[in-house]
Amino acid sequence: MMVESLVEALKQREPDCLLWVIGEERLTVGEVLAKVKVWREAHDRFRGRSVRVGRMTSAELALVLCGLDGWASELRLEWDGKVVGLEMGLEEVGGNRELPSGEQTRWLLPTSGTATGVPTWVTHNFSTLTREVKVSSTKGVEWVWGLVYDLRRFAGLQVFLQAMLGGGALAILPEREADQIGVEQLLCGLRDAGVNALSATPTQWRWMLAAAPMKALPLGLVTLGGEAVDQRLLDELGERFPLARLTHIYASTELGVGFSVSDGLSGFSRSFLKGAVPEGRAWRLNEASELERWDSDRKIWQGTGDLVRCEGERCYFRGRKDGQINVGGVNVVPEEVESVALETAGVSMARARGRRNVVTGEVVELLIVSALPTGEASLLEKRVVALCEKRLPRHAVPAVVNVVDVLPMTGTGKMRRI
Amino acid sequence: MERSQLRQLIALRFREALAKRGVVLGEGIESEMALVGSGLDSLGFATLIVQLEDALGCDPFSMSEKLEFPRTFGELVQLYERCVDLE
Repeated sequence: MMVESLVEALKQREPDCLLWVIGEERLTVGEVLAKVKVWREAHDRFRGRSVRVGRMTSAELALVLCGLDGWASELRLEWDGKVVGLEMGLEEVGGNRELPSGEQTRWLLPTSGTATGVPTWVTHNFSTLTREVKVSSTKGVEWVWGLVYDLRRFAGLQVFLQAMLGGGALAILPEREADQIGVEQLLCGLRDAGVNALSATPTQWRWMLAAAPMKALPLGLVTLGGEAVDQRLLDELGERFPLARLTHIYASTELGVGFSVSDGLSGFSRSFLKGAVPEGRAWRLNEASELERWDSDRKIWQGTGDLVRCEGERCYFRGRKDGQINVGGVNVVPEEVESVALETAGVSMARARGRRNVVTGEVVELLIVSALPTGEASLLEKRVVALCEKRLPRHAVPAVVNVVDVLPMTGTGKMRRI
Repeated sequence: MERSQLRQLIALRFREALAKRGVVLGEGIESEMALVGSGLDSLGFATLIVQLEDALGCDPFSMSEKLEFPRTFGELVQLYERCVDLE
């Protein structure tokens, strides 16, 4: 029988196996299934409907996802409250039918990089979300995955699904919700939950490596994703966790999981570009050095928006074609920062761009042209930052604001992105 | 720049970065104060070193072969002492 939903997948597993560690609470597969059954009984009005999933804790969300998948016709995972202004909890927005047998629930995921605008929705379902998940009821049983990503994001969902379907368990730290949790507290929580498999962005890894309790984490699986990985970080991780399997993953909400690299080197082998990868998917670079993926359904090459440069037999990611800035794995659209900056009285022109640094890969640097008399410029910098802090997610707030006389232009008169 | 000025400047920026995370420090900052446990997160730390690069003209982290972050405030100051021209 083909598995079409989370609950069906869980029913294939040993009921006595540990599945969720939520603080002090430890739930087996059977216990989670029982909780889902109770949840569905209490939320019968969502059956067959289209449901918006608003803000809630990761532990609540984990249960809601199990409850809705294979039961609601559609689930829309809203971004965070600051972006879409969504209240807490769940809301039905339409649909009035039973989910026909054999049909999967549609998952609508917002793309990142929608700092202020309306999110673009990407449609997935159980099959597309779990395409790269290694399903096994026995092999994965030794792994307890720590959830350090936001469960709403594609990367968080991948960790969730890998733990649920891969035979292992998932550790959710309740304290993580506050977002104020220090990295040392986070690591102690992961250690106490028995975590031995961890997936995080390079930025999160660098920050965790700087904390003392990292030494106590007995990791056997170390996974990185969400931004380009540098060799320094891979070397450091290899040294700290000599027995761990080190993997970096190229993935996005739009693309799903692209490919993963486990040879301990940053970038990827040029041989990936020469033809099909094991899953029968193919990659190439176009004339503009953009990575393209073969879309086997539509039989066309599709741009990924990611720029790549090859040196010898190795290829490296070199930022986004559209100038998006990747701040610690969060995409920031420069135009959205600029539009907020331009609302500040006294700013006549604005340009946001990525500025490299060793912790988060990039931060946002903002160049502005002032319409105010010289001398008041430093005041202007503070005002722009204050407005950005009010209106934009934290990652999009400029780390530095520089007042310049003119913005760099291209030959065609367009503002140049560097 | 004098050594004490450098320390003061780093302390000021460090204080500002922590204030943005809702952490207010008392009078002095001890050299032994932990950086990672201070309340600063990765984005706060990234912002701090980019601001210090603009103020001081050097980024000690980009010069290093190995990925290593300072553990304490004192170690952070030492890193900058090595890359800024001191009087």
